[in-house]
Amino acid sequence: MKVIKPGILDTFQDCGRFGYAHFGVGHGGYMDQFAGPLANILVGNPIDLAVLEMHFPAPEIGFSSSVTMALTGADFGAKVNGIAIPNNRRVTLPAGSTLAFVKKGWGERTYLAVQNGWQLEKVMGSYSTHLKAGFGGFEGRALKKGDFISIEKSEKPDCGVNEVQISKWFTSLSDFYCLNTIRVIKGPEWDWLTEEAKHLIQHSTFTITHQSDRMGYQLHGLKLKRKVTFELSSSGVLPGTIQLLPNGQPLILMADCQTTGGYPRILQVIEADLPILAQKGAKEKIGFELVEIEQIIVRKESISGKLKLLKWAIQLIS
Amino acid sequence: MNGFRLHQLNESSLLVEITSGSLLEANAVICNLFVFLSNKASSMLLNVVPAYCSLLIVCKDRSSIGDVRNLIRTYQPETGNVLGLSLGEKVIIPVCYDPKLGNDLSIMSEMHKISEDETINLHLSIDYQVFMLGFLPGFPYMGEVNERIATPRKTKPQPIKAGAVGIAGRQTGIYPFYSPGGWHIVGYTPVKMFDAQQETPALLQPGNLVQFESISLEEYMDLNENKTR
Repeated sequence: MKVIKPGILDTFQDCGRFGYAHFGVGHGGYMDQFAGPLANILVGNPIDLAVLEMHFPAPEIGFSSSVTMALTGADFGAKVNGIAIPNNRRVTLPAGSTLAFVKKGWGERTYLAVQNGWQLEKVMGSYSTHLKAGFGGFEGRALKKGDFISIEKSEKPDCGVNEVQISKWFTSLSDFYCLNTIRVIKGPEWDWLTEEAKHLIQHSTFTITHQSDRMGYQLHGLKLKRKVTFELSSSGVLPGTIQLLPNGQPLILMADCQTTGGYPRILQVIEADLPILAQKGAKEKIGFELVEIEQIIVRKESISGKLKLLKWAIQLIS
Repeated sequence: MNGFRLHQLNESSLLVEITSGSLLEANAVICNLFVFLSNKASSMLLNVVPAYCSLLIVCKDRSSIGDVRNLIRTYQPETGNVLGLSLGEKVIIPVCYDPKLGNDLSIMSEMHKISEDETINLHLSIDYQVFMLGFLPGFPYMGEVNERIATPRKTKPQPIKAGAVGIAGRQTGIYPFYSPGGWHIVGYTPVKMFDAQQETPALLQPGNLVQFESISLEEYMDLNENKTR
């Protein structure tokens, strides 16, 4: 695979890096923990292989050999040699194809998986790119023009195609990402908020500002006041932790956040709703619904559950 | 275990917070609990993150949370080892305080009304406990520095080179990579604080003791492993 023209931020990611947080090495991994593994499932890969996460403007990519691939997540108007490539299907491309993304539809991150994956080395147990410290993924950085990354060869003989082939079946997720209300549970410092602030955070909308990226989303809304002025000493945080900044605005930590933080943790986005947030961008508005953790666990709401079902169904069809 | 509270942070994570004792005592309990859980419950856990007086525990599966809660409730810190000195070696870290490398000693000297040499001696005078790592891979939060050199953070972050040794409040820390930062810098270490390719990627771990040692500019140039970042 060759990068003909780089996108604004293209990095290899997987489900994240674990076991090293006590060294200050954060979670990382794909922002959309649903679309990321789904791309691998669609091409029949094990879900722990790396996928390429792309933002818009996205790259122009050349494939020297025939390749079976899938795109998931945001719709960036993918085209190969002029033919529109829909998301959420298995697609086989002939040798010499060029993949380009012409128009931003909905969503913020799209994921590319290729059958058998790329030739990458794991660092600390993960393929994820740690941008700040410069390790993992491809040379610890975003892709640049001229980068060449080999794709693992299949054990079966090369059964190349002469034209683009798109599977007739597809996974449909239209309802999942449309929601604007994000489910949250109380954070450890929830009671540091005034009663008025607790009410405001549940009943007003917040705008995602342009100061939002893989590390976190800075929100803007009505100012939230705290009744406890005690200075919090640094304590563990996770993707989904919502901090209250000194200016009274919330910050939602995302995949590349640090392992610890010193701002009050007022809420926590439930794991099941993080993919919805991952596809929201600047100027979009969201609201929060406070839920009890027991409700989520009893309803067995989980991303891994949905993915297991899809994997089983796709194996049956293909 | 006494004097703590538990909070379930998300579907598969638990936060333990120590609610009594001094900072040093609370952190010693946390570091001991961190070692205990990392050994006893490793098959159930994805991450365990010690901080000043709290421990974040991320489980592989939400069904393990109940077992982890029970382990914590029944855990007894070893008597006689409360101050955490059993947790790993003392690490000696060379630091070059030479002004030619660029540091904030003159600013700190003026702020605290003591000489630069006195500032350096006070920084060297204590063996520091590593409370936690965070902010960047390999960045240690250590303490507590002598009150006479406790310095607030800068109001505006500045670019800081890899190996910079800094002070913020009563904490001292070391930047493993080039980064914007607000700590006042006293000197630079030539030693690499973090290497992703090593089996133990960070030089320091929570619970270590650190002693700083002054080295000359020539020695720093000879030893410098932090050249590229």
